[in-house]
Amino acid sequence: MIKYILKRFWQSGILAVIMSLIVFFGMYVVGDPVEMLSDEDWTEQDKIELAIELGLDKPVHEQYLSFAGDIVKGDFGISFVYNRPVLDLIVERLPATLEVALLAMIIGLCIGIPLGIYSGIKGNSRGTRIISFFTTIGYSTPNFWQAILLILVFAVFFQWLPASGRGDTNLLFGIEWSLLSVDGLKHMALPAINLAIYKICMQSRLARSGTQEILYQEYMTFARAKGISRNRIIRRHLLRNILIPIVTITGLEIGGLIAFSTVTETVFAWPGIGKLLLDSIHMVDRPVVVAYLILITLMFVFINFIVDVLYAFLDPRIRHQK
Amino acid sequence: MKILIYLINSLFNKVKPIFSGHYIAIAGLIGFSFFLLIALLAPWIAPQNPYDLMVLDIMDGLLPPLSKLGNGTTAWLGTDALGRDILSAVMYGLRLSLFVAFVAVAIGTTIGVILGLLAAVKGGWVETIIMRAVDLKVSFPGILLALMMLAIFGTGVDKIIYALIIGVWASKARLTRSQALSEMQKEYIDAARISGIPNWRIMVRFLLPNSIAPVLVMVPMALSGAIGAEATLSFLGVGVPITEPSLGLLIANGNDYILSGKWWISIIPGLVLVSLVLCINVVADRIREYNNPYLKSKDQ
Amino acid sequence: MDSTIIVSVFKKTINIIIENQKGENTMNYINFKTVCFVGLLASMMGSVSADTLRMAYSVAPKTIDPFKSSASATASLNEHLYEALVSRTNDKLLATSYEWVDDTTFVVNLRQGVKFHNGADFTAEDVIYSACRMMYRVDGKKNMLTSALGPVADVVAIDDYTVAFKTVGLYPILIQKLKSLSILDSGDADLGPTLKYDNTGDCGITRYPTKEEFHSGKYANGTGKYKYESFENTGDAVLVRNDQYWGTPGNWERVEIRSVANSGARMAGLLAGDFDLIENPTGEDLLALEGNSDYSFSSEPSWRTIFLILDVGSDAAPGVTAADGSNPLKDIRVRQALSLAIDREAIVDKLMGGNATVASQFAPSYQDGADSSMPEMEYNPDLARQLLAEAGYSDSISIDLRMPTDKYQNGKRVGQAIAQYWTRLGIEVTLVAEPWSVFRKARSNRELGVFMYGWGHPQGPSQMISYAFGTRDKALNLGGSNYSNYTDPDYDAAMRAWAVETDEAKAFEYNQEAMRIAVRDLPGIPLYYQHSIWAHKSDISVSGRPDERTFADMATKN
Repeated sequence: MIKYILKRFWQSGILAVIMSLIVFFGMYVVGDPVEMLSDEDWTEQDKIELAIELGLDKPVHEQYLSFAGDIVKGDFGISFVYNRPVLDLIVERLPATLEVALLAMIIGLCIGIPLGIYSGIKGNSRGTRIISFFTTIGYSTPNFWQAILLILVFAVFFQWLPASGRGDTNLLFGIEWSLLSVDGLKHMALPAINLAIYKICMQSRLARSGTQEILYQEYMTFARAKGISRNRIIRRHLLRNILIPIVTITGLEIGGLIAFSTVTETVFAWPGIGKLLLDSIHMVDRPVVVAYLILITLMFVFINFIVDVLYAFLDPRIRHQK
Repeated sequence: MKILIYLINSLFNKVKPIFSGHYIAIAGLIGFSFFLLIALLAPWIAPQNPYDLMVLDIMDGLLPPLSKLGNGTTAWLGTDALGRDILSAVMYGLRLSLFVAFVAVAIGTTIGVILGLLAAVKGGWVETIIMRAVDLKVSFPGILLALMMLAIFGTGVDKIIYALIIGVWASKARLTRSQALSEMQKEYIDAARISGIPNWRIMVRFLLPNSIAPVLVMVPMALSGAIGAEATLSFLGVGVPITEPSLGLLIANGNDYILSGKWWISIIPGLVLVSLVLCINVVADRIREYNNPYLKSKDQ
Repeated sequence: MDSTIIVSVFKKTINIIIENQKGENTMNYINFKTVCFVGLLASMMGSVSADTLRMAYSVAPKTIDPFKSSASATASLNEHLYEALVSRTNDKLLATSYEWVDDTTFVVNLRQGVKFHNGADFTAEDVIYSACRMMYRVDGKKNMLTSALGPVADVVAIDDYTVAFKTVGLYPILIQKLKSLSILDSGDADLGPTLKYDNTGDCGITRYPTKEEFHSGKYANGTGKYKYESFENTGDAVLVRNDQYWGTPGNWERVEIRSVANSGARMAGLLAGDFDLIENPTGEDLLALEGNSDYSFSSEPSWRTIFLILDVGSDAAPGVTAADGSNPLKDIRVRQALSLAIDREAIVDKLMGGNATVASQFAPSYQDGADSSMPEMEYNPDLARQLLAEAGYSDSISIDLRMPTDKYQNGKRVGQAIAQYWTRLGIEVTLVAEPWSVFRKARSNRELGVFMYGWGHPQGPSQMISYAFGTRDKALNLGGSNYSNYTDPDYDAAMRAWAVETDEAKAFEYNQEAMRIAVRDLPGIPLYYQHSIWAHKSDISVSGRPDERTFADMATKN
């Protein structure tokens, strides 16, 4: 077991290093930060000084080594554009992304799972068909197109909800949260719904197929044969078995939500890390892009690692391995 | 050649029972065929070549549906800012979107199948490298990977195809490998090996036909995913070039006008995109459902 | 995450559970009510005071330290807090008068009775200190505006309200450059025993306030119409009126500035009531406001000229080919044809929604110092075709037209329109639109034969052409951006005379002379002057600025 965990851990480390190499050298080709930061009336000397200051005069492998060395020390460098520590920038914007992701997830779970279980139990009923019709449309509609429609309907046509920005935030544990103010919640509503629609469709389809698979297990038939009431079967046998995988998947999906938030944040001008990434790509803010991607890789590696370990615990075949 | 005929035959035989009685899926199939036909025939049936700058006139810009253009023809679905006929632009955009997705999925699936088979047959370090590469890919959201690639290599039809291929191959490789591994445990493979048939022949002759079915089941889903991804990337401005808009870029262009009541520029390509993906997904769902033993047993 | 993976993980879990189920059931009951609990209520928003102006910028200000960035959005925000000696429209702010007393000494008389936000008096020492802070590498980082004071050798106080700038040579545009010298309070630093200007910014000063101290508001201390209340690193800022302002105080008690990069989202924010005023709506968005009496917009001709640059000097211009292998752009008739083929009127009307002015030269004809009598650039496709034929280049040229995708209003569409016009001349045009970053790198590598660019400069029409078309001259800082590889003795003579002319009227004449030569020789093709647009609620009125900055006092309540 420990050996297994160590092996996974080691593999994850390699993954992160490869990722940092690809990203760093990839970004090296794109754009010239000095050109981006300088004005038209700068002299040649001004540009050279700036290049030296940014460390761009050194050969690229040296740049990578000093960059990698700093990362190990927890220093992700200074943004060319914002002139601030990259880690600060990312950490500052992370709560905005996380709270939307969280809200979207909760909406997804609360709506998706009941819908899925319902359609799983009801089989081929009219309700199931309606649900599956809408979920199919939901996940067939690209995220950005949904966002446009949401803005059009709720922000422009009915003017119920604001279309952009984060609104008022309140401080909790030293972090600004939109969740804690009415204005903030209103601003969050559309981005969260945008992210949640896909979640709802996904969760309900998962819950549906899970329900069906479990329903046709022998013990369920047995339970029915024993004359246990339908409600009791659903509550005692179905729910407890379907929820664990779904909750696990949901944990995994946090990563997916953060990735998708790039699109959502761009359309809704939500100041999270996804928007930071896109802005930084356009501005060739290399330290930000590289740090973002490395952190995201680490996050995914970590999530996958946790999941693997979790399965190792859940799966008796691995659990009992010496 | 034999394999091809075999595949096509088995495909036809399989298709019929999948769809019989499932009207939504049939509608999806018909819808998809319709879009495919339009895409294929676009250069002959479109009123205008929207990529040819010669025929565009900005004096025809931003006309609503059913307007007359300067040269006397009618723009049935209106025009965009540059005087591009939306109907033609959507036809060509459909063509481009489908082309990009088809090529990416075809190449990606082929690469995935080949790597999956290699991993299964060769084992050892080949398998380790391939499977770690698969892990690397699937541990990372496709959209971020594509964004990164396009940020590095620039934009263009070829670049976006590369980016999409990267999104496609890994899961196919993983599935092919597990299928091939279970196939290899069967006795006839051992028999073939003992009789001295080389590895590559075993791969092509036995493993490929017997493990490709589940991969093919994933193809429609991959296709709709690739179409959506291309549209998203083009919408974000890192996809196809602006002079040759795909559906996603048409939507992005029209998005600038959506608040000003010029809905047709964005809404029409959007509806086409959603309908296309919907048709494919309906078909894909049915195929998957059909191949799922739990659900099949219930149907019968 | 890959959906197939999710499904497979899901299946795996289900299987594990099913297997567990077959044995003894050990799983704990999880009630999904405990998983989903949330009360989602959104009720009415709080009311906003009538004296608050809420603005949406299109680009986020990066810092509230006035010397750390030259970006326009940052400068817009900072202009609320800090003032320079003269404004960008040449109004006197902290200076009351100035003159060149000899070739290298520029004397400025300062306004008396001005107080900083913290109550300190404004004196000559603050000007010297500010110049030092501009040149000093705070946190070891180069400031972005140092080139402005490059030729300044010394700054000395003659008395408390008179200050002299000594330059190393003739530097007539100094007053223009001083527009970016925001004046800070010397009391915010620890001055040494003597304050002596030098161009490293050392000046004997023992402690400078850092950028972070500006951000926290501790030293965001200027003489401007508005005072710091808060600044977020995302660029959002809240400002309050400076009631001790030396002139007419600000129009608003409170100003909230947010940044929304997406134009659609910005407009939607206005329509949804989040903002009172937004900058840079797209022409299309403005159509949405028509017929809605709650909203209105103001359009102001800006100083930004959009033009094309042609490589007229190289034997082989990158991306430009002709059948005979020559560089066709060397032929003046080809350049004239390219210019005559473009219907600028149509571009302005159809693509810019009328919010642009057809260009007559490489700088706005309405800017101080420009020759306003020059005629608009002509549209004559027949003549263009004829000139091309005379030059022997009919149907034999191909051009890569390069442009940034994300930089200019409607840029992508204008690029496509130009490609349309040139295609009709029989030229094979490939439009290559790239992100700004990639484009700029290609430009500095001189990989662009024909490209679209925009330039707006508060320092007058001379600025652009002196950099863009002059023969390279480091000493006079001419030709630094000469990507046309253009060189012409008459042009250079006029530009060199301009560079050392301290008499404004004469400098204008030299500049107009150079401009006429540039328009005759077409090392580039002027297209149009961009207008700045602000959309706003109709209960305020807005008078825009030509320098594309958004300042709270542009708006007044009706």
